[in-house]
Amino acid sequence: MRHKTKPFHYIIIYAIVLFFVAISVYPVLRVITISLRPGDNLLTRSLRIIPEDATFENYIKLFTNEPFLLWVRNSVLVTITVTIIGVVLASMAGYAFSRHKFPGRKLGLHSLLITQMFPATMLLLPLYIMISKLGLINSFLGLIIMYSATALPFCIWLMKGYYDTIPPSLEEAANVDGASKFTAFYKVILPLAAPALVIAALFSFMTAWNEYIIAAQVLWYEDMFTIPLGLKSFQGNMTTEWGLYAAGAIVISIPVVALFLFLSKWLVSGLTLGSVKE
Amino acid sequence: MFTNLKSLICNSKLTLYLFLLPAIMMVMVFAIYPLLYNFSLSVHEVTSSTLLSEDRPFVGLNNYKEVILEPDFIEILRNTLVFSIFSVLFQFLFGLAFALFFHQEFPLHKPLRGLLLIGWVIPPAVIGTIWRWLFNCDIGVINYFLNMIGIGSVGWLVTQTFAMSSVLVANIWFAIPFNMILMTSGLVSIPNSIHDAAAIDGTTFFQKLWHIIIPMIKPNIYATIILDIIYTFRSFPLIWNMTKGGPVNATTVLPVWSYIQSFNFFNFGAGTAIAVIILLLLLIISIIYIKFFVGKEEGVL
Amino acid sequence: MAKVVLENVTKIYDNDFEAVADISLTAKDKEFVVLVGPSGCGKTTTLRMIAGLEDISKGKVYIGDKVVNNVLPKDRDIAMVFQNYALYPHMTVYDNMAFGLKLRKTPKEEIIQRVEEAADLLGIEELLDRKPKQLSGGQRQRVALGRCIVRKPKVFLFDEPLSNLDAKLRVQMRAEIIKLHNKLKTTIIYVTHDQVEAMTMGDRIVVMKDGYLHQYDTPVEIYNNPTNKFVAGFIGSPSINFFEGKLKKSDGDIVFAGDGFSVDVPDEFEDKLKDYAGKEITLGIRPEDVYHKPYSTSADYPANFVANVEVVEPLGSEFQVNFLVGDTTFRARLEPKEEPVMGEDMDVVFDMKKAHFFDNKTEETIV
Repeated sequence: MRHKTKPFHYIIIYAIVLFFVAISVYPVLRVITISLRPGDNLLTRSLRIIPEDATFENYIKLFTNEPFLLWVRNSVLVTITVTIIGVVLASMAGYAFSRHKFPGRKLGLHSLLITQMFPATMLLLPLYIMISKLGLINSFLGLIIMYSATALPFCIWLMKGYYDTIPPSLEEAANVDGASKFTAFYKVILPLAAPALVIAALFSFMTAWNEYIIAAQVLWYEDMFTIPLGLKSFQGNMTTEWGLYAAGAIVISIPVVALFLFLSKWLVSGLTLGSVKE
Repeated sequence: MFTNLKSLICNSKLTLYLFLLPAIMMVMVFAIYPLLYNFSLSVHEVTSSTLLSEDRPFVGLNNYKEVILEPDFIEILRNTLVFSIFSVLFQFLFGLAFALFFHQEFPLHKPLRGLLLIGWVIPPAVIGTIWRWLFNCDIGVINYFLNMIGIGSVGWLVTQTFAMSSVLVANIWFAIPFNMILMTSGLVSIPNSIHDAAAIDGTTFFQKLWHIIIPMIKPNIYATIILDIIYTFRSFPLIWNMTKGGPVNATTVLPVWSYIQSFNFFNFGAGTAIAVIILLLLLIISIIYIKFFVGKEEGVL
Repeated sequence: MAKVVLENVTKIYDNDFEAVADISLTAKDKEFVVLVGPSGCGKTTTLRMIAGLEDISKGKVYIGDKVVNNVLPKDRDIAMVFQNYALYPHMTVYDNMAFGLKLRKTPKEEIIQRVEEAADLLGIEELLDRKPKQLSGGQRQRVALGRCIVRKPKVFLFDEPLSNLDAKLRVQMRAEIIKLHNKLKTTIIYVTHDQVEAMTMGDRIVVMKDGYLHQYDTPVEIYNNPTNKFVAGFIGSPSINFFEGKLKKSDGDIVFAGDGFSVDVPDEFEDKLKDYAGKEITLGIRPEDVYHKPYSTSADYPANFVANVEVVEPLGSEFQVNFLVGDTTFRARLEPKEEPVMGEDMDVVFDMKKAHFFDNKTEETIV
């Protein structure tokens, strides 16, 4: 695979690449197009990416007429909390699972896996009952707890797998150097696990940022909505405001895409087993 | 004595349990307990009035019986299998092909690979809507092209014949980036010397793929496929956004059905029973998969 | 600076595997002690118990005069070089070396001074800003050493530090560690599976096998007076030749009758060997104690016989020769003037004064 490509191969390669890039990017471009159309003018078959009558009307309306800014605030609050909880708890629990053989370790790891087999939406009913009994309906805390619990098992597995590739002699060296168990973890192992931490953060972030089905059950009032839930409310009635919806979809995607591009160099290494080599 | 006490605290299992406790508590209370609670609901008669009270009559396996004897059950199970098998097959093959393709070095291969991943980071809810537009009978781009080459409009999402394939296309499109990333991470772990050795041996591309690359990234392949199976089998938001399981039951898979039973018909017993059935089926599939394919290769996941 | 004492130290793992069995030894202050043995002999486990990285199942470990069984590694005032060096990949060479001092809240100026001193001593001043990834194997080795030196600990522990280096570098680093020890005068406990390393570096050597201590003595003493067959075979390169045979009396003398040859046993051995007369016994002869008859120095004992020269390896200063007698092959180090010729028979003499005899059952050395 790593051989030098001959010049005339480039034409073929780029043709293939462009075809597939078009397929993967076009649907997204389509949303941009719709968001730029005036009114609810979805009903056109024009293939132009930027419509002739392009306007930011939808975006302006989104940020001025709708409680959109409130939703952004709500989403940011919930998402950041979930990300922090996910990363902190998973980095610690994953470490314990990786480095210690304690009774119940296997059972614990398998249970984590099993929670992943259960459709998240199917936990809705029992969780709804629990949350309402705890009086957490219509609170961000309830939502944060549910999202964290959903994201944690995967993050713990991810972290555990990554720690497994870090030689234990590094902590031992730190212990001999004068570090306590915690200092060795914090100063030596955690920095080395940065790629996995990034993935765990991204995963927790996406879990919380994109979700709306659970949110719809927990949050009842419009001023408490997260962005995806708010977006859904655009298409709830008989007349869907597609332009507004598309603009909202673009806005909600921007942070994730930005984060993703920013972190992309970590992405592959974070998922690569055996990546910490001395 | 003091040093002993100190060393006990620092060295003993205490640090370990402090590390584990918060996460385990969280998962136990808000992931495992609800799972068991769901199971308990599935063997009781639960209606909207008894949902928040505790006096729900025990009905044993009646909810399961009801679900399985439902005339739609077979069709929905078949939908689930068709959806899962074709999704996993194609998303994996495309993911692997793209990963191989972008593992070559040509100018801009990294930014272009980044562009391919874009579908993965768009919220699934939005993706459902996008594809609903693309497949729209009257204004969708796909029909626009079909009209252009003279085939005419197809009712992608509104006819029972085509709805499943449309949903499949969208789901495969959505899942390729995930597969591609996991496969790429496998490919980068193959040392360059292996490629050099293969080049010296004069292997063709497909020989190398079959005899060298695939065996070397086997652990990644196993892990990717089992994750694909789990994620596809329980996938919900995308289908829900595109078709809500329709037309009729054409795209109703088990998770969609469970949601409909619980939240549209308030038939909570059936909804929870279906959720348990999903879990059991996935467990059986996973165990068989691990037994047959992964065998003794531990530490795959 | 401190002595290290092990008192009946035993390590039993959870699966009941006894990795180290009842080891007692003392490493004196400033002494360079090498633990050597084949893999799985428990030498690394012993070292890790001294470091505090493994729990001690039974017995006591002292560093200085203090029992350290319940002292955490960080409080034992030791430094360790690991087999894979265990350099912190995310830190520069400087930070790797300064890490332990920073944790001990050493003043900054002193850290800088000590790191620079150590770097100077090891010749790695130009590398201080690099990351471990950018270093060669030998350089990493030096950094790992530097990380220990700056700490000025009571004891240095080395866990097979040279096994990842190529042969030439290994010889070079060996000499540097010896020089370092002479300069720093810190107690060193050094683990290796390479008996050459053990012989060249250690003030005293601990030979271990299957968790047991077989012999603890100076290199010369261990070489000349191994306590048992294992130690005799493990120490020395090329290794000692063993011959199975019987002790017989002939004309009042004791004769060792091997496979296809027999040799006289020196008079001074006879006392100790008298119980073995007529019994199976093992003879050990080191390769350098084999001579071509005309060049033999021990003419007193007619211990010569004819053997066939199978292989000759001329090394320049000496010839290493494989002989065949009966069905037994043995190895000899001859001087070039002894003129071994491949395929020919040769009159061979054993210097029986330097021979060893081993009990076949207990494998203990008789003489």
